[in-house]
Amino acid sequence: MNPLVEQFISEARDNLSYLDTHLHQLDGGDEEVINSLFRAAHTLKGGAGLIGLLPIQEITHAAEDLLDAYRNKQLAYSKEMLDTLFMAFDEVVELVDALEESGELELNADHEHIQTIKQSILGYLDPKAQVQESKQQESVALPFEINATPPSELLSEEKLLEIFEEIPLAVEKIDAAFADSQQLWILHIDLDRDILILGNDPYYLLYLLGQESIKAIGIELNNCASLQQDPLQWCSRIDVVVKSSVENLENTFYNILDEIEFAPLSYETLFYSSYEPSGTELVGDFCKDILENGSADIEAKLEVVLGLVSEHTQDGFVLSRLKKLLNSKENTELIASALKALGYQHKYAKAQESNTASTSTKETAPNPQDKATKTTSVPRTIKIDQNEIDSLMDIIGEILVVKNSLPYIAQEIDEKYSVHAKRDLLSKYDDIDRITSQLQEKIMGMRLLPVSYIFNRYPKLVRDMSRQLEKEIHYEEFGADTRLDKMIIESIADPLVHIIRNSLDHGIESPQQRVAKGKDPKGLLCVGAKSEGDKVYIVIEDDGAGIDLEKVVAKALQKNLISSEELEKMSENEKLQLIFLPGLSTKEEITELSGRGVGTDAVFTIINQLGGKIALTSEPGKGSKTTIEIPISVALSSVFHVMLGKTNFALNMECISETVKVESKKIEYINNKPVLKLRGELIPLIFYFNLLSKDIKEQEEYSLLVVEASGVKYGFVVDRFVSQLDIVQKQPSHFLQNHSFISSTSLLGNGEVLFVINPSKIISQKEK
Amino acid sequence: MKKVVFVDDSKMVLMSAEMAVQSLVEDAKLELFMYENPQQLYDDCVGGMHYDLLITDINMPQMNGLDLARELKILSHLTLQPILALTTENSAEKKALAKEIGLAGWITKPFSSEKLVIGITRVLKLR
Repeated sequence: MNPLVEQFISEARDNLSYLDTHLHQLDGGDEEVINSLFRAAHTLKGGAGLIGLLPIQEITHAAEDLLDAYRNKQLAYSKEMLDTLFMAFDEVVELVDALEESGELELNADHEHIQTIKQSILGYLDPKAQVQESKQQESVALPFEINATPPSELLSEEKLLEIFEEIPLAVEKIDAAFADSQQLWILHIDLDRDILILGNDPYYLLYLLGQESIKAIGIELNNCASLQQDPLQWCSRIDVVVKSSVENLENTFYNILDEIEFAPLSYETLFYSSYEPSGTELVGDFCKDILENGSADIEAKLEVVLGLVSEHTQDGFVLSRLKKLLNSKENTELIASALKALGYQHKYAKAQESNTASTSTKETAPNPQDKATKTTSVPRTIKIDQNEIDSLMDIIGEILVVKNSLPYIAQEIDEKYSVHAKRDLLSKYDDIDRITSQLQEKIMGMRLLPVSYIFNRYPKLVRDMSRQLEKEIHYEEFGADTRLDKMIIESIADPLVHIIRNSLDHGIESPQQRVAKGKDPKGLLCVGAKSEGDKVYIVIEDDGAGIDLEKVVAKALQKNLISSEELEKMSENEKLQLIFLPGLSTKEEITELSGRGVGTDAVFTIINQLGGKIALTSEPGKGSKTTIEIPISVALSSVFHVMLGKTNFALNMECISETVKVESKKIEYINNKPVLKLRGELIPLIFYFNLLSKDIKEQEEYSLLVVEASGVKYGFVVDRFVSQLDIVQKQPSHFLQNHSFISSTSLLGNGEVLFVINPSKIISQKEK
Repeated sequence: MKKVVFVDDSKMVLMSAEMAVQSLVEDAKLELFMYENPQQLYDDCVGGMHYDLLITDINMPQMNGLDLARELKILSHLTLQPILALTTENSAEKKALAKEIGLAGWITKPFSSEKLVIGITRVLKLR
């Protein structure tokens, strides 16, 4: 895709999500927020315009106007207006989605729909404002805004006459084609004194036009006394006649187009002047007559006209030109075309009218002064290519390997050489350790994204769903700036949507039900995040009906998901967690919105895969709360390194609750299964991860890892503890892939392979 | 080689501006510097950074482009350096204010690359 388009999509997403999350604050009247919202819409519009996305540009333009009007207090807040804006930006989100998907700038947009949206936005604006807008657009539509100054206002009549005498503007050349081409211009360059200092040099610009196409017709030096003080001041006034195309002129004087006065020196110029309206009409009629009826009696008619014109105007210039033409006995066709040119006056007159009209509307237009320059900014995320981060992560992995190798070398040296060497080496190790941990921290930070990245979608989701479900729901969120690993954020986005949907659909009651229960008819959904240590907790809470435990249990039994014996042993809380079992849905009728019983278990699986936990609490009639606990990052993990014979194994630190060394005689056997009584608690023991059928060696002392899985403690007996390690886990490949015990692998400093064990798999296997 | 600085809070505008003036850069006539944050640019200028031409957006979250221009014109080493506005703003009041502050020109967004090149070459007298 075009990088510009990619950039647009990324910027648009930032702005749209900002709009989505902050639009509802429009009511608050906080100027900074309103300004930021306006700017977000403005940037969107600008970006869309830059790559020519007309549908997006149209909608955002209208929305920007509305926000601008609201910002300037020209219209009052209304719920409907907010809804309209939400609708508009939702449409833009869809257009951006479409753009991202297809990569085609030709958006397949429903033009009528867009117009409807645009009109509904503009409907809030003052009708006057709309008229003004259309007028402005009209004037913008002109390719080149010429100051419609009649030449006679720029220069005296004598001067003009002189020009015509001097300039090789042969009368015979004057025809309609010439009049249309507008090749000759009078330029009146009377500029601000500072023009040179500001960076525009009119002399240079004239030079660009080319010497042969310029003729200076007048220079006036004003206030030259000040020249002594500042040589960089522009104190002259230059009038030049220039032969140039409109485009060339525009391009040359581009930066000071508004400041230089131009007058087209075309055929009409020869005749144009400030006629009284009656005179204009007469001349116009005459032209028409000649053009329509041919040139018969032209002289007689011309005489009449000239007489009338002279009665009505004191414009000697036009008269003299006309007389000159007449006297020169040019053919009548020429006069006809000359007079045809007179018809242009109507254009002139109109142009002037609309000019004055537009200036007057501009003056009456409100003057929006943005006094707040430092306003709340749209939150930005630094976007870094995922591949780059991944490759950095690999480098870190390498460094870690090297780092971990140093103590081994030190060990070797210790055995063979002096103590000093070991100390030196270890101090080096400390250095590397420090550097790498800094590097780690930085890169981990780069991988972290605020959860607002996914929270941003929820206001819209809640809005859309509450509309569909006909429920009133107030959405709240907290801790949106809590940061999490990008990969985790991306994988929990969908599970969270699922939980929110469940809350909205099954949890929060309809307004009628709520009123009947004596609750606020407006339901509350709160989504939040907080971090504690290297864990992040994501909470989704509603104040709905809560979960009907009886129903969940009945369903679980009915679907044979659990046995009644199992059920008896369960606590209330454990029963509640049944909801995460595959194939359980308590809602009698399946609604379109929240799935069909698939999903909740998928949520459970995904969170588990990420090394997180999910817990549900519920109070009937008061609401339910889902808490998801996930590690901030999965890229780097702390593991505990143990040995089994000569093989290296490790367990994630999170699942180890303690390490114990026990004497062999303390191990008891219940049902022929080894258990340990630890502080009054019976802990089943698993020897050597059940991996090896090797007999349990009679040892005096056993090394034991106490692991807690699904609320139950197990003791893992290993040969030897080594140490805690920070490793970059790699997914096992090839034949190891299918081994469910091994969740990942890593390389140790001495080059050996470390297998990271998934204890819950071992436990579940043991139970079978 | 002339040093041209662009400041715009939209990365997109900076990218398209860079594309637009690419030919000038390739001819080694320009050296481009892009800023997404006007405050950063201001700080660098206060720190002594010099440029031959600044092209600035008007509506930016951290700092208004006109305020930026006004502040930069105060710095003695930049007083004479031309500034162009590149903005979607098109109001007469803003333009008048820009003139008063001392901007050399005004380019309206969305801009064509031709217009931008023209605006730059005229001010820097590149031809």
